[in-house]
Amino acid sequence: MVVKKLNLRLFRQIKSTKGQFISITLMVIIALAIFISMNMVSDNLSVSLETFYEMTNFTDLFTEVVRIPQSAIEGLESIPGVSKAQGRVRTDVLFKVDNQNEKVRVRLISIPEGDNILNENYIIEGEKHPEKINEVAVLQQFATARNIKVGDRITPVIAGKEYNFFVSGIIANPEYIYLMENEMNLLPAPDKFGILYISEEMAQNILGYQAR
Amino acid sequence: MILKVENISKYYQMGEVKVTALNNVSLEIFDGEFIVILGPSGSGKSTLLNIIGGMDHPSEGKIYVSGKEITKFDDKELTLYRRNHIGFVFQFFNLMANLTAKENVELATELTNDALDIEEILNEVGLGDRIDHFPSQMSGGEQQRVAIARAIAKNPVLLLCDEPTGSLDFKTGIKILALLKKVNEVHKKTIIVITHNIAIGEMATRVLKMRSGEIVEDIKNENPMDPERIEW
Repeated sequence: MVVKKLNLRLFRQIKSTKGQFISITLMVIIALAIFISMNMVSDNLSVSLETFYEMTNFTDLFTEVVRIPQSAIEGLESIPGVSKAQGRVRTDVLFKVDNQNEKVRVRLISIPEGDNILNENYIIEGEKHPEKINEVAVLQQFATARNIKVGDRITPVIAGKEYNFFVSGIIANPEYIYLMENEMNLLPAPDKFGILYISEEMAQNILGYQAR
Repeated sequence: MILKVENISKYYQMGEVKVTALNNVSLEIFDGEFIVILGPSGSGKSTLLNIIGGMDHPSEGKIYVSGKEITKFDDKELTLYRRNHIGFVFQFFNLMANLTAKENVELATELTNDALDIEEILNEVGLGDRIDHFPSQMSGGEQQRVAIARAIAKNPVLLLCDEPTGSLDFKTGIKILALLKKVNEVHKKTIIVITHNIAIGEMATRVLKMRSGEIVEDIKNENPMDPERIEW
């Protein structure tokens, strides 16, 4: 088969600049490989995130009030577009550590009774919810940073009084995938701030909130 | 009549200014003529040649080649026209650097149906022993001869030459002109040569003088001079 001259010219051109041609081809291949990998990673991460949010019933809306009666919370569910509303109690307190000079804080969050809990915990180890009083579920990032394991005892300081809690589970939570104390804290230090999940009964006992 | 140019104008609009390259040019060219178009720089001769060769569009006017109106052609028809009916010789040869002489001519003949024999043509232009050499291994005159071989191997209707001796020395230029003369007489090809070199006009059968985008003189040459005797 006779080679067309225009093609012959192309081949010879490539041959005479072999080095350039090979390096350009390599660059294109590498760039493509990187792009495809990144794309796949991005897709995977998206799917992971969506699935996690689905599984743990991540809420669409959050709001903070000083106090609200339970009946009012149930009333929210009658608003069109609201499929479920849930109330919980939360407060930030000090956390006792061996090093006197270190200041560590934890947020106590109550988990309500019943099924179909919103912003559900995801078990890493142990129990998802604290069953007995004085049991806590600890957020994974905090547990890893402070080397806390299931079965350990930890000591938050609430209203001046030291409490002795038993770690019944290490969990992850969709609200704290990235652990920020508040909007101002963009680079979290997981050893300085953590989340502890307690039962609603315990929250009401310790913090003085009554179910109404 | 092989070529009819009818009221061709070409202008460029540069904002406010209108630059006129060709102003209402008309002419007729007959089969077998050897036309030399003389004119100073900027007189519009290259523009006219490019339009005749289908490489540019006029702003106004019509051109008929072998009875067909090429100014009406769309891009595809124009490409076929250039490919099959026009042979073009440039001032700076425009050969493919990484193809041999033979392959350069083959480049053109592969595209046409009606090609002449490549080796024969190369022999005729005096390059029989150089057919496997690259342009970088040849002198200017030899390269121009390859270009001429490439143009005539296509067996075109018109052979258009834009300053074919422009980048060659006097002696080599004469040889090229002699070759063109041979192509005109032996192969009976109609040739149009553009130049600003008045001496070359002596060998033409007809000389057209251009100035400022218009043809100012059209002189028939009853006794065209033998190129060997031209001096400049």
